[in-house]
Amino acid sequence: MSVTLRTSDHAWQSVRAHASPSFRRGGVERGILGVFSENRIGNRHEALLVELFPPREDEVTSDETHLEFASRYIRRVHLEARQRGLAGLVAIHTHPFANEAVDFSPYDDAEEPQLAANLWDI
Amino acid sequence: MDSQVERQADRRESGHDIKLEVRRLPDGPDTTVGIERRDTLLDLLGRAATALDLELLPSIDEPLDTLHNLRPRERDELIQDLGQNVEDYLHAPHTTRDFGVRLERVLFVNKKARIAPEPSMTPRQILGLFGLDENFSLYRPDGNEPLPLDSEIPIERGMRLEAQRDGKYGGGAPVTAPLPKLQRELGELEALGHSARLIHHGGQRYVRIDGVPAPTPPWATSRHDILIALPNGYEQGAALDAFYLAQPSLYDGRKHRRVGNAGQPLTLEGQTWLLVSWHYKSAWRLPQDTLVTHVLHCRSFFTEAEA
Repeated sequence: MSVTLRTSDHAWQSVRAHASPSFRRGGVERGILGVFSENRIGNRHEALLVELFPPREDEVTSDETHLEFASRYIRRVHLEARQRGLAGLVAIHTHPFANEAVDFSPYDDAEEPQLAANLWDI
Repeated sequence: MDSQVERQADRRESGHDIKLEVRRLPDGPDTTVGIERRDTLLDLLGRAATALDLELLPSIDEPLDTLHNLRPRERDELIQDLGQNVEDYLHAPHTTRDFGVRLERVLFVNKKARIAPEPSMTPRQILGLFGLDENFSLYRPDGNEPLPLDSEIPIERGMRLEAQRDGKYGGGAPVTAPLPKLQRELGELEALGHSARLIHHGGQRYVRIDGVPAPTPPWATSRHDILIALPNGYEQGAALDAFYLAQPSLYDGRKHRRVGNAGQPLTLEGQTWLLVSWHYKSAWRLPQDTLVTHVLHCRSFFTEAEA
């Protein structure tokens, strides 16, 4: 089942602005978390990006090939979603060495389900 | 009431309710509950809790709170297999019609519940208790600051904490393999404050735990060293059972009747070890039962085993 992520143009421009330093000389992986609401109509399942929360300096570490959101960053955004009664979190991150195509890495595929399982468990 | 009189009483009831005395342990009020013969001890625990106005945690269907059979002439028995039929249990030797409900120090982390072994623990120990590694931090519900890993916090029954994982991403980072089961569980024991060490001896693997606490009296010393034999295939699901106890170990001035009755004495690391016949009353369950839960089982020998 596929889920369509919809954003406002303003939110999308914020994502681009946050991600673009990754693709300059010496750029590192960058990432940002947001919260989304959910919409199901018939077979359509959409997630609407409600707000982005740029990480503070002490909430993220990264280099050219690695990005780590500290638990306190995920916690901050998770509490926002909980307090607003929203459906969940959106995690967006870059791969600076990607050129024409980009995909989730094996590392992403190994790690993210564990984070999702944890959020589901809380 | 002796068992013959009890059986006569059962017959008089001719398939109807069995009346049992239940009390809140250690010294709470008592009352009488009626139960059907076909009911299980889990049903009895639930009915006793309702009659005593107690809430079982985490739920009445799968409680971590415990049911004990109270025996005036010997040590009370912690009932481990709550799936037993009440009538069958009452006909077993030494059982009485007096039962106790003990509310344990149940702690919740996310949706899981465990019994906290100590009245205060560090977040590192709590994470270890729940099998969570260094990728997690512990928070109060709706709290935004992680609890300092090594600062003890008092644990109250029913307390809820939330463990939040870090988020890791990478275009080129290597995939980290999960720690092997045994290594992970040794780490969890260490996080719980146990001195746990893997020993190879004569082709057999043991885990040595030093300083297991014991009440004095009846035990002559307050700390004991134990050895747990790991069967081949433990990592694939083989069960743990019993343990070895370093000698000398005196209970009421003599060797405990469950110590040294089976197996050969071991000589290892300059000490003599005797096998303790302290077995599970229900089957080893996966994935709940681990080396960590087995150490808790071994610890219970020093407080629960009858003389």
